Amino acid sequence: MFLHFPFLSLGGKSFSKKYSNTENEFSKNSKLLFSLMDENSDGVFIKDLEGRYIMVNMAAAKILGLPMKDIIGKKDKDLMSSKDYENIHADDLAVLKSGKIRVKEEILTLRGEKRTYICTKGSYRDDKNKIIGVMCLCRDVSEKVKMEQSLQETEEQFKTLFDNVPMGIYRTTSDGKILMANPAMYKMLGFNSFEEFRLISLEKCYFGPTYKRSEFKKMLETNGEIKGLESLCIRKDRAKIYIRENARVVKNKKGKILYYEGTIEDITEQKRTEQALQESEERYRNLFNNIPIGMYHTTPSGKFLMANKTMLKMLEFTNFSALQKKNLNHKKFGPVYNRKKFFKYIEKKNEIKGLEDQWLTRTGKEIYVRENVQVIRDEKGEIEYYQGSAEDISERKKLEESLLKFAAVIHSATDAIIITDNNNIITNWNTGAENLYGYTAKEAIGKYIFLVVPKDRKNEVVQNTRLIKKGEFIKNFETKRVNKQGDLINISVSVGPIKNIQGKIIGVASIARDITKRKSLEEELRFQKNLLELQGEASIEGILLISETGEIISYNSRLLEMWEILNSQIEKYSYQEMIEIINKSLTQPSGFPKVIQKLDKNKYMETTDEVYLKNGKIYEIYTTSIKSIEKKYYGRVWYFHDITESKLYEKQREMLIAVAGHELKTPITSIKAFTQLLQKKFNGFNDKVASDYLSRVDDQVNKLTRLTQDLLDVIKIRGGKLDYEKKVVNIQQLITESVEDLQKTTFKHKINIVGSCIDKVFIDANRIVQVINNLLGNAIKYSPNKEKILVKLESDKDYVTIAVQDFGLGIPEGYQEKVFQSFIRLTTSKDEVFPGLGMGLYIASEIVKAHGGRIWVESKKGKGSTFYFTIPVFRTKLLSKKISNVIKQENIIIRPETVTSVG
Amino acid sequence: MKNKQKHILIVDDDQGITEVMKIILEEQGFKVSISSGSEKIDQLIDVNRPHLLLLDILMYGTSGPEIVKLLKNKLTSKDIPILMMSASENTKKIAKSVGADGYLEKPFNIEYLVELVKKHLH
Repeated sequence: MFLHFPFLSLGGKSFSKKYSNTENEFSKNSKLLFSLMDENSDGVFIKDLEGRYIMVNMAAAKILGLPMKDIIGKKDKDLMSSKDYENIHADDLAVLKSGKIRVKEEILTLRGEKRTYICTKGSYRDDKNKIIGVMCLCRDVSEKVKMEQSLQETEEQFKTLFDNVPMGIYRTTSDGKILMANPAMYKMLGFNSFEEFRLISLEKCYFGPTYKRSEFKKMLETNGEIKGLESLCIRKDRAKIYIRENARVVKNKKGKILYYEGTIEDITEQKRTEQALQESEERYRNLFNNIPIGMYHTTPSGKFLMANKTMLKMLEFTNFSALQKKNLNHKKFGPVYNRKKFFKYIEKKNEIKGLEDQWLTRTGKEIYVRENVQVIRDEKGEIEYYQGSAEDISERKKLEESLLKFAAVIHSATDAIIITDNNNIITNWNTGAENLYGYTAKEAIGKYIFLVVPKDRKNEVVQNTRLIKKGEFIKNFETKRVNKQGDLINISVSVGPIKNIQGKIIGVASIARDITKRKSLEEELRFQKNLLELQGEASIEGILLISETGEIISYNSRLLEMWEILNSQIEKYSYQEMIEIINKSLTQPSGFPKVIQKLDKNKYMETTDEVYLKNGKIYEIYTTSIKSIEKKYYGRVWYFHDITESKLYEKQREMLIAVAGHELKTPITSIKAFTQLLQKKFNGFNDKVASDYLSRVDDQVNKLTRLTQDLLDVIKIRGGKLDYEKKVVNIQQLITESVEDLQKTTFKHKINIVGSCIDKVFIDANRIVQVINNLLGNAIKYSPNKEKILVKLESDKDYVTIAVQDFGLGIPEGYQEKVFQSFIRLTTSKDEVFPGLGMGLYIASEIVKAHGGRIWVESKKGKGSTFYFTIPVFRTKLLSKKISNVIKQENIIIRPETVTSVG
Repeated sequence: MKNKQKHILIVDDDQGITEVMKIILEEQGFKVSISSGSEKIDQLIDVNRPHLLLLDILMYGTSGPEIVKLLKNKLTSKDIPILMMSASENTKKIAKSVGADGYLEKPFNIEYLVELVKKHLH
């Protein structure tokens, strides 16, 4: 650089020694000097003491932008701005004064341009070493400065970027050591500083991405880069975040891996939002599809744009694309009302509410639909589409129709039929009644039934009503009534309850006839039939009566409803066809044909069955023969009862048990595990007291677990849902083992087994252990001051008897039976609570009963208690065969979907 | 460090349980990952290649039994032992019926958990 230039040593003594010996030599040296100067790319300026230029080189002339001759003899004052001149002049003076070399960066405005120069100044001396001027070496460094500046700026920009981007940037070695990371990176992972972060290794820590690093390495090194890898990542504080990562391998020229570098982005929020969005969308879709109301959009020309599941189901479609092929305006599909009128109305009013009319489904089935329709218009007011919600009200309509029919039957009957409500007020009064009593319907309806009852028989009516409200029927009861004229008439009356669809009694129906006159046999039969119909129509069960020869004798409208049979068709059906219709409505395969086969073989048989219909309903079917006292076969009656609702309730109850069990035990699980962890820690510190406390916590947690289980068991028992998995078990061994286990939990008590018994029993081992644990647990608990507890075994040819005896507090007489009752008593009004007895004995007694055994207690206050229970002995080969058959059947029954088999 | 650290994946939507299980198993020198849900579990397993799976039966979304069926039918995951856990007394029955390799009833003793996991990892 500058210092290499020999000129610099001019100011020193060496120069005078080397170059100033003679004039000649000087001029020779001067020449050398000039040539050196001219060849130099830096500007060389030499000024005399007055500041006049006495020598400049080509480069110097270039810097000043003037020919050399215009420079020589001039002063800086003449050549540059006064500010620059002052700067330079001050420097010159300093050099002259000190005689030392000065290097300085100057920014000068030369040739109308601001540029940066490095000026190296020294004194210029003659051969006598006398200072005769100032010499200056000047290099234009503007470009370099600019470059440096811009480099610096870039670096700064990069640094700012590196420090401030929200994206994490890292560089690691291939084995996971961190070489570099920006603040976003370590903050994202829960660190406060890079210093803290660099200490970890991604390969040997619990946090960082949850993907397997070896897989990541493999993938990265084979592909050279990974883009958009999304993964779950654990922060230092164990919080979870989702990250998206790009990474690449950086290699040197020889292909050796130098490091990995990459970026990560926290996408937790994004993921969460996505998830939330997805969930809410799903929820909406679910709602849309599952509300019991059909929803749809159609074009004015009747084409479907959209329909939910309920709508599809209502119109008997399984998918939307099939529905799209149909048109709501077509005659043989959809509403049967006049569409033109409908359009006229709706285009004027923009909406219709509660429109009830008949619709035709895909298969041409007639249904009743109640709908609300709205017109949706665009900004210009043009109709965009129709938006409708439709509800299938066929059930209700059918009911209305059957009620109308029912009313017609009553009206036309020649017998007097009167219906009263729960307050004994007459609501129906047919022509038969008008004829018999002389009052018109107008006169009678709204009055008390006592209108026609003689004063001395009022009590009889009150009593009858009471019986009927209990669900009883009164047949052919002979009594007296009074007519409008005040005459007493002798009547025979049959009275029965009227129930609504839910089976609730809403009134009383009576059929009466005058027995003062003799009636023909024919009339008698019709009377009976009317009665039966009345009874049948009021029933919530579908009823089908079959004659001895297999003809349909009678049915009620509920039957038609339940099996979706048209009134006009039933008359044509034979019994066989009716069975066929029933079978076709059931989900296949069904057990129903088997039932029919059995009935064919044994016509007296009585069966109860649960069947599943294709439309999702569940019916209970009961059938029994009708026979005389001499067992003469008259025919058969079928009852069909819709139990869909109650089944659903049962299912919900089971769900509740499962969920409640799960919800209660989940926190217990982590409490227990943490307790044990803590105990281990304190054991490690040899802290006996803390460890002891914690084992007590553990005991209590176990107690809580048992209580939770007991509670669930009680709920199951009450629902008849406690499962038993019975196997052939060695009972002696089972008891020995459970006694040993329990012995470990008590230091004070000594449990001894006395006697022996037959080994083999057919039991659910876990449940029987539950019984034994329960009895032993109580024995320990209620004999705090005694040590002895006995378990006695004995057996005869039928039963194994197991007894648990303690010598403790005992149970007072009068309470001994009650200890087996559950403390949660729902039926008695006076709740008697035995604190501490809990649910254990109740569960034990239920388990024993389910095994075909008995449980009881013998006790004396202050002397202790003995609890006994028995289990049937597992007997001969024949029996074991039977039992194994039972097991096989049980296996079939266990699956909840299976229909309970018949017989 | 052991020559080959075994990796266990716990799938359970209860954080209290996954946390304590992680601590217990990490103390035993296992690498433990947690998934709080069953979504995309097969993909997670393909990426992580755990040596053993602890799977809760009752979860929101895809249930435990469905996941077992899914994993046991995939070539890449059929050999990973799956232990099903739940608070139900039917845990064993359910685990057996879907072809899981073992079961763990909640609440459990920590020694038992460790023993069970080791038994299925050897």
